[in-house]
Amino acid sequence: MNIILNELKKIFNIKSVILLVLINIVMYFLFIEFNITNFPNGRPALDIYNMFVEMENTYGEFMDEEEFEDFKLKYEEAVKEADEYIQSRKDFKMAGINNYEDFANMDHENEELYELYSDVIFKKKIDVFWELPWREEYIRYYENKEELMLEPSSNEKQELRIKEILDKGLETSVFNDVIFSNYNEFIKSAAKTILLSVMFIITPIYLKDNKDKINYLQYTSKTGRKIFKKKIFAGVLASFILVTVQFICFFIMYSTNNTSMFFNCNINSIYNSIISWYDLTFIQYIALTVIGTYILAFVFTLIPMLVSSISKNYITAIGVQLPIALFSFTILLKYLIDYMTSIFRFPKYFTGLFYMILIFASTISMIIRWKREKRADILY
Amino acid sequence: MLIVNNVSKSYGKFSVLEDINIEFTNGVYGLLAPNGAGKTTLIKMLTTLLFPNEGQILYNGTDIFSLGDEYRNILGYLPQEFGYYKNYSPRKFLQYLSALKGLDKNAAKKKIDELLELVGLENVRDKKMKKFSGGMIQRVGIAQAMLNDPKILILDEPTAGLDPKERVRFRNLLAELARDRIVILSTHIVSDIESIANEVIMIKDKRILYKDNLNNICKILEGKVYETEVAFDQVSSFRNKYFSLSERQEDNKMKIRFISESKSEDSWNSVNPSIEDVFLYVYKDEVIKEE
Amino acid sequence: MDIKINEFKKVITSPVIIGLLVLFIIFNSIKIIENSYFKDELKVLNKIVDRFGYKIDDEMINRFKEYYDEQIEELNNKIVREKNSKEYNSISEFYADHKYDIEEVYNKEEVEFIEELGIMEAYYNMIWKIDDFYSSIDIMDRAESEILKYGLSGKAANIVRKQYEALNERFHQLVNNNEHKNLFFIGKVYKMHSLLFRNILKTIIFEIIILVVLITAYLVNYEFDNSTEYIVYSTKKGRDLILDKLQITMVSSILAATIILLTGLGLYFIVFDYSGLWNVPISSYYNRDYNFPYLSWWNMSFIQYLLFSIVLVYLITLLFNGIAFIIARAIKNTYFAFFVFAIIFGLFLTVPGMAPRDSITIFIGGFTPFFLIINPHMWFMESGAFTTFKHYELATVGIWALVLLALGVLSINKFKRQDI
Repeated sequence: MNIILNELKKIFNIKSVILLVLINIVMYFLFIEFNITNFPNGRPALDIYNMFVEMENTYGEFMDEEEFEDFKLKYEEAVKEADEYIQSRKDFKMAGINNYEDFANMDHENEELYELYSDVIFKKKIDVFWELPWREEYIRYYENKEELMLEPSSNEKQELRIKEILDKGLETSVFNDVIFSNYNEFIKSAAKTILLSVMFIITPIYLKDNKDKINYLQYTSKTGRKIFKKKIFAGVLASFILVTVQFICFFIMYSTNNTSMFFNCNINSIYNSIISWYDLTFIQYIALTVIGTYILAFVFTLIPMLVSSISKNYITAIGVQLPIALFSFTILLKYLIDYMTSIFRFPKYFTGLFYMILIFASTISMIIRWKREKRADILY
Repeated sequence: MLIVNNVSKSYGKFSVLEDINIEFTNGVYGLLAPNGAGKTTLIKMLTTLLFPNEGQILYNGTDIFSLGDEYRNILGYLPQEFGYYKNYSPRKFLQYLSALKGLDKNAAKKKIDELLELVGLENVRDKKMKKFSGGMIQRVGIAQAMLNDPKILILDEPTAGLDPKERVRFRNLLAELARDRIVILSTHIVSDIESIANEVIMIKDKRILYKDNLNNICKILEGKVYETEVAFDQVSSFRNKYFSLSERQEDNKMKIRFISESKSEDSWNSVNPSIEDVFLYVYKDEVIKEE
Repeated sequence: MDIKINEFKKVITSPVIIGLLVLFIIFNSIKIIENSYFKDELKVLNKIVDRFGYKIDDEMINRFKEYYDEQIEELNNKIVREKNSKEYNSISEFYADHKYDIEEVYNKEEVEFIEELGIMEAYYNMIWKIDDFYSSIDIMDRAESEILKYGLSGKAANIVRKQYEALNERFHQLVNNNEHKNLFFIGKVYKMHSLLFRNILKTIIFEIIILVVLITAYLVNYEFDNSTEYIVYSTKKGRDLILDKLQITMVSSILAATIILLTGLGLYFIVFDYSGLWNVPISSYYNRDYNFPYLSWWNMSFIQYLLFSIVLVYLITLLFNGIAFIIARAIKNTYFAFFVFAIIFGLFLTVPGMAPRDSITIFIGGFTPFFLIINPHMWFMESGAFTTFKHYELATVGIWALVLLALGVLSINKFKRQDI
């Protein structure tokens, strides 16, 4: 409606929008950019990433027993490649290193041998030598997958869930921690930026009109105190628009990481760092974190609204919200977005419950505030 | 008809207005009282910004707070401290307010242009208000109060910031408007009231002291207001005897206008009491309290 | 004077500022207490230093060795003998044999003795490692790895090398002075230096900055926010008031900084006993928290380092006070002023990284107060490619003080001629 549109225009006024863009640019370069331009981050991350891209290409979303045999074959081929390389170099022969096995067992304390090692690994950066140790590791993981999956469990419920995963064979999913932890770092920083932006744009919503005594004119018009409710709606709408625009931008950036081939892979892989209460694929996990952020954005729209409607000046509004913001960006996000649904973090329904409580508490508070405003004396 | 029925208002233990009873019909009402007497409190209650602790305010028989938007729909209000958006032009600001006042967009456009012309701001309709003088802002305020063609127009110190020419213009406008609506004017500027108010309401000691037309109110002091000339060195002692209303230097003597129960001296001139005289007289103890 | 007092009252009666101050004090206290679970272990060092002093020279080593040997003997004869007949040469040997609850085999006193001796042994054993470790340090190597780490080349790389050459000289001087040969809390285990100078001091600095910005923006634009600007700036004092406001923001900032520093550091030194250790050189080998030891440019004792750091904190406080003042005056809206400050802060942290890696411009961005406060635990020390300059801290503060002074004067003059 017209009134809500007018309020939206006030929220997205030119000065605020400019500052909003600047804030986002600064936050991007401070926190998010690293996760985009440095993915995969160095080696062996790069090699692991390439390995898994190849695996997904060849085996699809899961690596069954048959495919695992193929994986082991690939390992043998890589060892042969390494052998050939070593044998092609005289200096290795002179040092008594004749194949990859010798290479892997070299004593790094020995200066001469360490020189050779550095040369291959750090100076020449031969791919296969970066890959091999991890191929070995991952073979070991696969062969001991039941044991390794069950090891970190510390109570019955966790154990049951892990067994469930093993029954379904989800742990053979072609998915890796390199991709997953990068995404979590990315989404945490994105969420921080989003929440900060929302708090910034919403805080003046009541404060400005109250300070400038525009509320005298608003409350005595036909619309009257209903403007308060309309502003709630306008604010939530504004946040929704803002968050959506930000997500579009952030995910465009994220897409340059090229992880889409893993979207349908289950995150409960033995090669990943999370065990979830739910059988989520990567894209489902992404969706979950996005929904989580939307919910938090909603809560963080209501909070500045509340503060705005009771503060007499901007310093109060900032001073009150600063600790809230700092707390949320450090602790809250770590528990509510980072590694969501991990069985080691919270019991199964805890996260969902917590979100519900947040929505509930903030909505109820706002409703109470609205009811008060309907009957409040406008004194100042 | 707007009726204030046994209304009282207090903040905590501090009582501001007690047992206020007023009936408003079409015409101009001047609300006269010193600061702090409760003028603004009364106005804020009439405009639904404050809620009475006791009593009711009825418009055509129904409580204005139950009427809600129906009441506010016929209300036009110019507050004492008029808030506005600095970066808006008067046209944009009036458009914003007309949406709040529930006016149809196209009808509002027309009305806005009319009103801006009426208050003499048609040449600056698209200029940002932060460049406006105080008088121009005030005129925007008057324009917005009339956007919805209100049946009840409440103006708190509306001519503050207007130059004499603008004031006259404003008074004429009000007189015209008051033909078919209730206009309540809260002001200190006695000349505003003198020229156009049908009735004057004076609040004293938290209650309505007078509500009557000008003539009747002035009659309170009929035959009690005098003017005389006094030598400068006698002014002091004169003041101690009689309540001085105003003093002016003329021909090396002090011409004093004052109140006395009866004519004690022949040299005294009896003059017609003005509303200002009544104001000073009625609130004299408040003045003395301050001293 | 009354005017100044009134301005000051505006600050101290603001519930938000007081509230945040209290919140910060509580937060700091929690932080300190959270990290204090090992404070009793630290007392072992105080005991050692009481006995032998902290300076590690031949004489001290001998006395320490003698004492240590005695204690091992006591371990074997009095304690272990009763339970089994083995003899141990060190506590680590002992622990190897007794992997589980020694509390069950030995009584409370004995357990205490064993644990203390174990800690003492750690300090003792480290003595023999000092020389090897320091002779393995190649300062220029470190320079090269820093250059590699950040992908520097050309002129930029040369500047780094030059600084590290100077550092190398200092390093040799340090070793000759035996500054590194002094006992201190074992950094690798307890990380006391990082705890105090990074964890806690950095938090304190950020809290001070937040308060400084809020106080300054609040006071400078107070009249505008309360619509009293027409009355106030047309008085006799008039626009000169802005100078009083600036002074009071400075006083308030210093006061806020003092309160937070006092409560924070006060609690820290109540919790952690540094007695006997105040004069230990900060470049002590034991102080090392990570791989590379702390190398100060000057021979500073712990207390000197602490005091210089505190002075630097105060100077930084005033710098941010100036920055906030200029921003608040330029951006009349206190809400936007705050965020502009935050944006500028962020820009000063990100833009320097965008400079080309071979030109000297990449270092300019490091000489800002924003950069300065990132690693308080490396002030006056070797601190990586971008901040290892002998007079880094002084230069940064000095340059910015002058710049802010100039900008501040401009800002005030503008205000004096500005329409209100």
